[in-house]
Amino acid sequence: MHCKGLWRLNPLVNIRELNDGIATFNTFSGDTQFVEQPFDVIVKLLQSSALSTEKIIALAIAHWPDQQPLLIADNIKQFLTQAADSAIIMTS
Amino acid sequence: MSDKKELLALKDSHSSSETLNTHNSRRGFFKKAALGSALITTISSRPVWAGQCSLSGNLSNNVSSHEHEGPCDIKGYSPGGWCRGHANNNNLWQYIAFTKESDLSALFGSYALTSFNQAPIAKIKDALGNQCGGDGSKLGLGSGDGSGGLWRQRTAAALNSLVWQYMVTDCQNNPSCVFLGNNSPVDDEFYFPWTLAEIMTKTELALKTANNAL
Repeated sequence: MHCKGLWRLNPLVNIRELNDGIATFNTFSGDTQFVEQPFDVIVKLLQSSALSTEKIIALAIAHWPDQQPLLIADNIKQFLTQAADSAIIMTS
Repeated sequence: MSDKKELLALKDSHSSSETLNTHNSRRGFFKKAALGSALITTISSRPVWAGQCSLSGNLSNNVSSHEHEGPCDIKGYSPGGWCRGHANNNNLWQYIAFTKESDLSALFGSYALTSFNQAPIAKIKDALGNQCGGDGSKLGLGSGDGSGGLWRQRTAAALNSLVWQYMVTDCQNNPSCVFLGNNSPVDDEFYFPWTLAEIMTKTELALKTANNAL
């Protein structure tokens, strides 16, 4: 589990748009990852803003009002953990 | 105001809300994801680096035809240097977009996944050790296996590598860059072209020798 803080895009990561998501490339480790929709939205959001988990969930719930909030929250928490473990995002 | 800006950013990231609604109904957007199911696909690739034994020798506008004979000595800053010594005191941290408080996993990418035991919360300072006010136990490597020293050296080497890459990029088409001048924040002999992939193959002794060279 990651300690509480603000999430932001890893400064070593570049983003490229794809049809159904984005590709991230770590210029230091050489890792390439594919992030499908809708989670690509979160990565792109963190490119310009440092946000807490709670804020990301709140924004997602507001953005997808037809989705179950608890389901959104669970998905996002799981994604943030995996994205951090993949070094796409980090706490600032 | 902040919420509005970020909501707009979310909206802009889709071509149109109409497309989003169609996408929603077609794909059942958020799913009851099975615990541990992969939401990210990773492909690892390793970059290659080569050059002469100096910063100027690694710039594309280097017209010198002199070929360096023999292997170059890799020279960087030690873990202590990054904590309290030259690297820290000359604020080399500013060139690498990380701090001592940054996640260690962010520095090592997929290498962190295969090496750390339940330690995504480890910070760079934890790997660098006591001199940085870090706690090596957060790497989750267990006690007594000596691998803490290896990761301390790997971390310092990774930081040295990032500074080197920044120097080459910054000075590539800029002969007045600070690293080529008399007031360079790095030593004249600083030379660290190892990639992260190469760093991960080195022994602790080899890394320590390189990191402690300045």
